[in-house]
Amino acid sequence: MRWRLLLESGDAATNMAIDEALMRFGIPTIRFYRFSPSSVTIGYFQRVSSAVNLEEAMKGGVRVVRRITGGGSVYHDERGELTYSIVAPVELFPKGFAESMRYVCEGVVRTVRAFGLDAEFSGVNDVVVAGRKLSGSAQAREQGILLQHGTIMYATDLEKLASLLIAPKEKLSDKGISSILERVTTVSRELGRSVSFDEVLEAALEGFSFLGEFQEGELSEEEWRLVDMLVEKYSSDSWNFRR
Amino acid sequence: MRVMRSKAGKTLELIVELEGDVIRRIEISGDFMAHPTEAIEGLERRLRGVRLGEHAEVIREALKDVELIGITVEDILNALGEKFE
Repeated sequence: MRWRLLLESGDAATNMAIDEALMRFGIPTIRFYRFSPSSVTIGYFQRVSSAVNLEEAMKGGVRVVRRITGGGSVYHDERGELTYSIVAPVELFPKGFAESMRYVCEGVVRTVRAFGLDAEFSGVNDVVVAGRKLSGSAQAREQGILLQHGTIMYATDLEKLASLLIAPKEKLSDKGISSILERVTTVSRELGRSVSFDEVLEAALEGFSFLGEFQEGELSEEEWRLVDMLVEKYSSDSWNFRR
Repeated sequence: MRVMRSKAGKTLELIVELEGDVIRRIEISGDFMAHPTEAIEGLERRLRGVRLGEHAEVIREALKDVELIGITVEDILNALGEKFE
C-alpha cells in the first residue's frame, strides 16, 4: 500500500481545512504537521464555553477552532506537539470504530516507544505512558472515506494547556485526580530531556510505516481550492462557536 | 445544564429548554464521537416539540443506525430522565 505523505503545516484554520479537504477527495494520505501559532481545537460536539477557558485564550491570543471530528479539546503547542492525520477509503482499515481507531493509534504507540517509553493504547482514543495521556485521536467518516487525526505531545507547555482547557469536574472526580497536570504528560517530561519536533517526526515516519510505503507529495490544485474555501468556515464564529 | 460522565469516561452535557413538559430546545454536547456526525443535530431537531415521556422513543428511533462512541443511547436517556432546574 502506497500513501501520499504531506508535511504541510499552517495555522489552525488552514490545518483543519486541509484535513477536511483530504477527506473530501479521499486520496490515501498521511500527514504530519504542527500548529503555527499555537492553538486550541475542540471536538465537533463540544460546547466551546465548557471546553475552553475563553478568557485565557483571548488574553494569550490563542485561536480556538472547531474540528470536523468529535472528541475533546486539544492544546496544539507550536513548540511541543506533532499532529498526524490519515485519510483513506474505510475499506483500508479494520471494520468498526474501535478497531480502526486502535489500528491507526498503533502508529502513535510505536512512535512513542521509539523513545524507550512504555506507551500503550488506553480507553476509547488515548495513548498513555504510566497512565498519563500524551496523545488523543478523533475520527470522522464521510462518503466512505475515513479521517483520523490526533496529537502527540512531545514538549507541550502543560501549565499553558491546563490554563486553556477546562476539564469538567465530573471527568476529574471519576478518575480520582484533581488536575489536568497530573493526568497528561509529554515525551520530554517522561524522558527528562528536551525532544525536538524533527526527532518526533522521524520516529513517527518509522512508527506509522506498518501502514505501507510513504511517498512525499503535495496537495493538488483542486484540493487547495477547497482548502481556501474551507479556511473561511474554520475562521468563522458561526462554525467555531456554533455551540 | 446537566453534565454527566459516561461509563467510557466521556462527558455528556445536555441543555434543555422546557415549556411545561414539552421540549422547546435541546443541545447535546460533549467530547464523544458519532457516525454519521449530523445525527446528533438531527436528533436535536426531532426532539423540539416532543413531550417529556415521549422523548425516549424519539431518541431510540433517531439513533438506531448511529454509531455512538464514548456515550450510549442509555446515557442520553438517563441524563434526560433527571429533573432540570
